Amino acid sequence: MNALATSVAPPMPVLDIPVLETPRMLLRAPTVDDFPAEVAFYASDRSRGVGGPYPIETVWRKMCERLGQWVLRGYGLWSMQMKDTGAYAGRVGIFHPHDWPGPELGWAVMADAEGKGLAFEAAQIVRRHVYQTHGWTRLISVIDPDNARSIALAERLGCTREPDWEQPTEGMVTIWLHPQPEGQA
Amino acid sequence: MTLSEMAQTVPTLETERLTLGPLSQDHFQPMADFYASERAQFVGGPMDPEQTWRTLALEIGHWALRGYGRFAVTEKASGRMVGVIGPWNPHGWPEPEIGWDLMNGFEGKGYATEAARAALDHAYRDLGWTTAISLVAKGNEGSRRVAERLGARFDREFTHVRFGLMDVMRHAGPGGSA
Repeated sequence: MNALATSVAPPMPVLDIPVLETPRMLLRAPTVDDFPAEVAFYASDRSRGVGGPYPIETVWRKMCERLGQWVLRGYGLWSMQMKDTGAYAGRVGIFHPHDWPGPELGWAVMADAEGKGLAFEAAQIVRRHVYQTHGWTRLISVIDPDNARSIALAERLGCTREPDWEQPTEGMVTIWLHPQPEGQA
Repeated sequence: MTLSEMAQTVPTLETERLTLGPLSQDHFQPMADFYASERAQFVGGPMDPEQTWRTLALEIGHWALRGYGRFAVTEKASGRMVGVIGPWNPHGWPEPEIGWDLMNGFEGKGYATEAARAALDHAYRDLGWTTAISLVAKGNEGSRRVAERLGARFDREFTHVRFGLMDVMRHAGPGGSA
């Protein structure tokens, strides 16, 4: 348990989120152990591209929302865990709330894990997995227009830009279409 | 635990007129109607369907992080959803509470009181709580009456980082102790 939790939790249920493996990481179910790193991330300017900064209580609710999406949709976001150190490196997976323009492949990398190609490595494994598992032929990424690093990653993943989208709460965002299953890296 | 096991893990509670069970996508529309209305003004609303869907996901995710959470409350006679009621303890809460949101059209029947009493019994019996509160936003007279009907008494005020000033109403303990 971490010191930030408000009360002693009972044994935590784990959803049937599959574990995926990349050369350097395990992609596994989010747990409360990821919470301190998420709090630090959302307290920093690094979170501007994904709706932050947020106060601690909102970070906790966002974690719940991501877990709840696994139940509501049957797919969601994984936590990226380094194989060598066990450290939490960020999250990657499918974000798909109500009224979203389809399943989105999203990612967020913690500050000390940046610049190592980890999101690229994880996103490729997730993309292959969701194409195989769900039979999707259309997969997008939704990226804040000022988030140059994420846009560069979308391009590296072979995405092509589609018309922008006016998201009701977050404003104008860019839409990136991923290559079809047979065309992916 | 698998997703299907999680559904089984959420206990089903029964009262005279109501069933309390797991929340699912089936409950989105009644929640969207409630959260779009002025009645939601004391619980973070009004909000659009997008925000309501995320709230539904939040309610379900609370079960995953805490091992307990709020229930979808259904009217036995009609099968219709009447509320979201039960133990609730998100980060930033002063202590675990019993919360209730009554869907539109089900006011005035005593349903919130009936379901919250079952949820309170569940918290003491199954979750091992030794005390319980309910948070009532300033001005939410309907909710305050439910708390009082349940026997809760004003304990103190609490200021939440986003929701502002609220009354902490404290319920009688497991054995009926204050």
